[in-house]
Amino acid sequence: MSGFARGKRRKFTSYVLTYAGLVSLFLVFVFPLLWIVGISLKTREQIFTNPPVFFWIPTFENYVHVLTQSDFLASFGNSLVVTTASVTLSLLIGIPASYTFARFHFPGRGVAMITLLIMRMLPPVAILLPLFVLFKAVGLSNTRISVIIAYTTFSLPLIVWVMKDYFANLPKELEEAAYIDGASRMLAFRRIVLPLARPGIVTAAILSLLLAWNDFIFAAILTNNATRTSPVLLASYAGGETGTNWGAITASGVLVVIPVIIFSLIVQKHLVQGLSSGTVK
Amino acid sequence: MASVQMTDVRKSFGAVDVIHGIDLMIEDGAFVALVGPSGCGKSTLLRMIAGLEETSGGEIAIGNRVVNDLTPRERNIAMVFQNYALYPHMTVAENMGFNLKLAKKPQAEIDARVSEAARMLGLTPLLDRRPSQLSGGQRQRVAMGRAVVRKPQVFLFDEPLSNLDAKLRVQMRSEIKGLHQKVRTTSIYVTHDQIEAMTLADHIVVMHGGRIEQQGHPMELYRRPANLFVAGFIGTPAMNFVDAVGGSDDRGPLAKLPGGEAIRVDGVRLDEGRPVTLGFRPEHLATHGAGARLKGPARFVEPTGALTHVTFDVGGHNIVAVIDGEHQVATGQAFEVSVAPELVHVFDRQSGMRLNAA
Ligand SMILES: Nc1ncnc2c1ncn2[C@@H]1O[C@H](COP(=O)(O)OP(=O)(O)OP(=O)(O)O)[C@@H](O)[C@H]1O
Ligand SMILES: [Mg+2]
Repeated sequence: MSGFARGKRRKFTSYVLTYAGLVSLFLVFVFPLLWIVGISLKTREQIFTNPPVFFWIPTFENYVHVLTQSDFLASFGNSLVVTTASVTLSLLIGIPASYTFARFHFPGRGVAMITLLIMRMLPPVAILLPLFVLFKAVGLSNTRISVIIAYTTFSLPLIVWVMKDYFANLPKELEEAAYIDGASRMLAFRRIVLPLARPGIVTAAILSLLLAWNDFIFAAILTNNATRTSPVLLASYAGGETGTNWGAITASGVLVVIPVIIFSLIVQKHLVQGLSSGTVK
Repeated sequence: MASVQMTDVRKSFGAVDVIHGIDLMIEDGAFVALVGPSGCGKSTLLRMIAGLEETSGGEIAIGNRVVNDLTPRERNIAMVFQNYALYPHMTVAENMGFNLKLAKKPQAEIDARVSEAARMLGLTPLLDRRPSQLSGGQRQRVAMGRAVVRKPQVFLFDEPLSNLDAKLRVQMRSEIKGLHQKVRTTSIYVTHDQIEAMTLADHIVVMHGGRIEQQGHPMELYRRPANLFVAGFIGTPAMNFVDAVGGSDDRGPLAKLPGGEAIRVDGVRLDEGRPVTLGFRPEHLATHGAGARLKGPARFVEPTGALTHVTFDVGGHNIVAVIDGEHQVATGQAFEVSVAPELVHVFDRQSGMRLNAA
């Protein structure tokens, strides 16, 4: 009898602890975001009231301001363009490259993989200045293309390291079965390998998307006022003659996060693992 | 359907020679088993026939067409893999129809052929499932279905049953045999299980170290193994081997065991003192009847029901006999069997080659 009761109590305790943990984790991660959303919905006076107000009638004047009075839309467009282009380019180059690394043995394979990793381990600034000089020399300075190239260079190693293992773990027999079924190498890759590698591809895409979307330092150096991306514009709201415009910073910050959230919601179902379970015992 | 002919086929991986010149003629419609211990090159040979592995030397012809330089697609063969290799993102029907789809057959024909094959293999209720929703035996059957649907020239099987439990293996074995009797497609079946080979095939090829040791009808291999390797490989429990020396008396040839017992042998001439190895199959050792007698204390007695395996000691050699299950034997007891001269296999001790004539 006591064993049953104790078991029940222990279950209740672990239940409470689990939820207490989850809730605190949630607060730690979400609180800054909520705070930012809060500020973005306040007037300039409310923002600086001390102690802070916790209940107020939200205002959208900051959103109206960034969407109408500033370069927000232009920079947002730039962000979209460079991110989409660099993610696409990275995947187009990175997927075949990682498949090659996974399936073919060629001289220098190990060295090439390590080189990629080392490039990724260098601090961005170490690459940035040579890149800046290089782009200037070829007449690409202050263009979006230069940023796209820089992001692609930087996310390729990431993609190759993630995807190579993914491809290497797909049973080779699946492709061989496809060859026997009459597929060429290319067709087997498209019809068998790619669909099965989808979770890996989505992971790689997210990694390179975040790299491009959230980057500040590359864009700050490689772009000008016309080609700058959202993070660069956001930074420009700080300081200046009129002081830091907190309302504009937080409102554009929220707007910049929205596409990332939408993207995550769209792709998360593709992240479901275990698709390849049951092929091979 | 087609014959498969191999002429001096060789394979090396880098500097390592794995297949050392295989000559093999497989008749149209035959069911051939390739058997041999692990690492002897069975899978490699099969994959060369399939076109998944390049041929380093020699010639492979399918239906009189040399296929060395053809891709798997151009060879029109089907293969069943040990791990089935079903496409996990496709349903059973899509798995089975993938080849026809790639061949751009009309959907109506694909559906008809898939459902015909599904009916033959009892897969009809499973056509819409994914491989992950199937049991091991069902996956195995889908893998066979995928091979049958396309009506290839040759079926290749690489240990298709080794992932199944013992009972299912026996069941699938008869299904494969039944299938072959229905469709009569030339089949090459790799296994390291000689029982599987004996029961399924009408021609067995025993491989060892990248060479063919012997090939022929299963019973031929059982009755007249060409050398010690085949003798030990074919048959369960394995053949007993005892060293002896040749001799003869006025009634014919003999072999003398180290303990002095003389075993009469048949179909062979033995010079006095020639070192030989004798082989007796456990099931040929009889508790009654005429012939040379072997005796010693019983070491282990293993009843299996109808038959009992008795391991007994003859001059320091362990000999296994398979006897009637009703026969009473106790561990430690003296045990005696006889063996008929025509059932004694005589091998040269140096070369390991069989000495008995046909
Ligand atoms: N890709 C490869 N590279 C180098 N050596 C290989 C390769 N594939 C096979 N081998 C070698 O070739 C020999 C024959 O291999 P194979 O797979 O044909 O043996 P098998 O008879 O099928 O054995 P098993 O019964 O274990 O499947 C082995 O010694 C193996 O190590
Ligand atoms: Mg093998």
